[in-house]
Amino acid sequence: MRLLPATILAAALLAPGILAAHDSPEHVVEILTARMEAVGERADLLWRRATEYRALRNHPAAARDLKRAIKLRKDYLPAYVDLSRVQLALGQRRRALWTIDRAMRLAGGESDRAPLRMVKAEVLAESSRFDEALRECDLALAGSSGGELDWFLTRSQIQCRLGRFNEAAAGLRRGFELTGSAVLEVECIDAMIDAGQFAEARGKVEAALSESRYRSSWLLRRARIHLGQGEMTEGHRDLADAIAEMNRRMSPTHPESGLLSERGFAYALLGDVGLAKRDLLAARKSGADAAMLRRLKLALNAAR
Amino acid sequence: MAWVATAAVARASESSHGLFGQEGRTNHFARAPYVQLATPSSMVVVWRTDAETEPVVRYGRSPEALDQLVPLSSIVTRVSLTTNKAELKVIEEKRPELLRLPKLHSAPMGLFQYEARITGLLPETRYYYGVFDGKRRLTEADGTYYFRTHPPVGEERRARFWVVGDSGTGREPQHNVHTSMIDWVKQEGRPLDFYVHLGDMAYMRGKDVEFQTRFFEMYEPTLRSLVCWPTMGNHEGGTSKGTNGVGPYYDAYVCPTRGEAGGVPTGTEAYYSFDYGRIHFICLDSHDLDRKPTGLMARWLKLDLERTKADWIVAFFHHPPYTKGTHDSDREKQLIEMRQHIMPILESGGVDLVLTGHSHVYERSMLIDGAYATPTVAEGVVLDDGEGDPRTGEPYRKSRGLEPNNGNIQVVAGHGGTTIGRKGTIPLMRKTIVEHGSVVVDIDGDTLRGTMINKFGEVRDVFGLVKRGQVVHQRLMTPWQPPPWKKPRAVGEDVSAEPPEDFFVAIPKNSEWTYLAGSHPEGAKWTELKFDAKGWKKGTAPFGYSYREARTVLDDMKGKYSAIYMRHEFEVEQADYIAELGLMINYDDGFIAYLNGKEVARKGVGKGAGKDAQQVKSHDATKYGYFPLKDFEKHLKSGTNVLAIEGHNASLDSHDFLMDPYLLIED
Repeated sequence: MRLLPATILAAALLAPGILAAHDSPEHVVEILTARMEAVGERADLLWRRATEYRALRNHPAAARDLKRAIKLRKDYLPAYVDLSRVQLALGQRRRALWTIDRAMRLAGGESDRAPLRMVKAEVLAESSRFDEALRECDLALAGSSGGELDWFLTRSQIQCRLGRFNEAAAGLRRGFELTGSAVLEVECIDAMIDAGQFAEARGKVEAALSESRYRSSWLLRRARIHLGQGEMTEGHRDLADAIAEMNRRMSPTHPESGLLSERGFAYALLGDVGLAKRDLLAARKSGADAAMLRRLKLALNAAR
Repeated sequence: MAWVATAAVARASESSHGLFGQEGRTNHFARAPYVQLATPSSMVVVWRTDAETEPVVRYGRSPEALDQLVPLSSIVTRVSLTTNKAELKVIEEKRPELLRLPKLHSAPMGLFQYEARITGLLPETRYYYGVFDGKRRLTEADGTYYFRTHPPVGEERRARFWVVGDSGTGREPQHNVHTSMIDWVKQEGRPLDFYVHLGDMAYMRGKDVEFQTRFFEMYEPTLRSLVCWPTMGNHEGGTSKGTNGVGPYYDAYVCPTRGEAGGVPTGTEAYYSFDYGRIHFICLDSHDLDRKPTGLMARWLKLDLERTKADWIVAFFHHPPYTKGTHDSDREKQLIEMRQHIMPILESGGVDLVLTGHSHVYERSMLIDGAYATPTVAEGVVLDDGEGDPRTGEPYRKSRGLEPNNGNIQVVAGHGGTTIGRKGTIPLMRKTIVEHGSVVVDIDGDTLRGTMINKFGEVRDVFGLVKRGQVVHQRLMTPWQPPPWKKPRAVGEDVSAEPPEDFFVAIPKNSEWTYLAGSHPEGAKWTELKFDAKGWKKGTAPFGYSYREARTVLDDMKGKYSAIYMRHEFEVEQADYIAELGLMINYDDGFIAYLNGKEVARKGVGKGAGKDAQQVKSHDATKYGYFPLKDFEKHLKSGTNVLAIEGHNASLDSHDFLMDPYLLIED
């Protein structure tokens, strides 16, 4: 777990924290506001209040405070990083990019710049500038002593968007070897299937199928392998089994968005556009975001 | 501790023993030994010393026969080195291997932490251990250093574990919650198997020194033989970071990353799972990691839930999906996201019990499922609205095994030691109790029982869950509802408020004050810090006459003057960290209080101040009242402050007078 040196983002966390043991964000905002009325605005207090506004999902107020913090302290990196994220949350991609670029110019060495590059990669990916986003990820991972778990995932998602599945699988494999994260391993298996590395993927899928209580996600993966190899009957059988299990697990009143998107994906692979679309809409209603629905949408488009 | 490193550097050039060598030993632990990361076949013993030692751990089946030795290769050494460049250069020359050791983050310089991994143990077996420096034993040979390995995974065993949250203040309520639990467990005659901490174990910012004094020293006898499985709270998040696992929190704990204790490997200590017999425990980081369903943590959670074949699932994390204690789950992002993103995954995986903290209250739900809406409503998400009390034969019921969306119980246990409070009522809660306490959970076969014990050792709630046969619930459209909660009268109204339960005394009782009696000061400058009180007298509180408790007796007051003016300076280290400042005062008849020149409290004086004070109401000094100082955060400063009080009698010929103040601070 102790893979990394302290980063700039860690430095942000090391800055003064929450005020009181029992205070809600609203109360902390009140205290910080009163404090600044008494002693004047300070960058660190503005940054702390912005953190509380973010906790309350009040992004416009957070952005306002972070901008004022930067005005007061032009080299205050935590404020830049948070402002960029807030701007991204507000849909202000160009501003988010401009903010994180300024932060990167202020950062010391490449190891300090690495986490900033990942923020920039997220902004670029949100703007569909995947090539540039990938370049930032590569530089971030090269510039740090291993990278954070999330970084491997972010990079592979961008690689997959660019259709570079072999590279995605290789990067994820490296991340898995370094950290042991099961999520990176599973993402690696998915990338291998996407890349057509069916034989190696198949062995891992079979092992997981034999170990799992819930098998539907693994049946889906095996189905993709079968379909990729032209074994339509076997693939459809696995898809039917996966759907049957998901139906048993699905709450009739409050279905989980992940299960809905997986079932929709299975329907789409079976060519049942109507049911796939129904699950897509239901998953969206349950809170599924674009990343969760990506495979389902691709399969749905292909089925159409 | 800085001297240790400095002295050691100085010694390095003289001594063949090298840095942090023999002559620097202090013969005591900088952090007493504690156990971590239990599995059926292994255990980790962790301890710290304030100088380098030759770490040795011996263990065995009886305290008299520690006949096994942990190989040195199984002991990880971490160190907190000096940051002084000159000293580092000396270390580089004399002991370069020290620079290659993993680092402790923010620990006092010169500390060494040792983590001894003991493997090849038998399941559910008690082992005794001793920590040595070479041949010299550091732990007492009193039989209190022992641990018990977990039972084999998959085999049914009863389990008893302690659940405590938001406790790390180092103050009396934390101590009392701990000792009341120990006494209760002793009385019950069934020891704990381990414990779960729900975060906020080291106020205010989870610094290394705060961990030491507010966690390790507070729980020391328990920690030497029971594993504490932790989750990070927002206060630890002040200095530790989940995304890279750096900080005092991650130094303190050894958590699974590769599925060592059961469950799916995470690659991080920030979240993990472990098995105890047929119970699967899941710990999440609700503080600083992505909580979205597409985030790494949620993806891991899905994999982990797919894989487990346990009979029970218990999840724990810091931020509660449902609360109206000191936090509001309808308004705060982390709480909303845990409810909207994480709870659907947990419930579709068959979770039985969810333990959280953060909100400083005890709240226990009915049997619920699918309560993801904001604001939280009860209609259609309560599966059983009974008391759930096994003592009256009405525990909640679920199907045997892990059935998805078959109901779970939510427990908010953020009442472990810091100031408690309440904002309102969550309609899912069967019990809301604003008292300090903790929870002991027993799982035996198909039955779970939770017991909330307050800091006085009283059982304040018992809930049960039985998983037997096939249970089909009807979702209740008009479930039982808790009575509406009435907010107490606000501060500044006609009654005094409740003082905080844990506080520091900034100006003690019976302090010496500077005071003026028999005349009025000019204007209001006397209330300011910079005022020169030259010519004022000094006297010990209480001030007054005709009251036996008066220490400074104003026997010339009656008939001659009706007001006195008092000043007392006090120090505050970090004004930002003060949550409340309040005056405790027993008074007759009225007073006005000022903080650094600003009026912050007034009682019994209708209007005006000083010689212009009017409408002073008669009031007898029968007991202390607590008055939080209004807007203190605007006026309080780090460093020296002054509290000024003017005390007024209702009339010149009043037959008595008393001013008996002291000042409380809550951080």
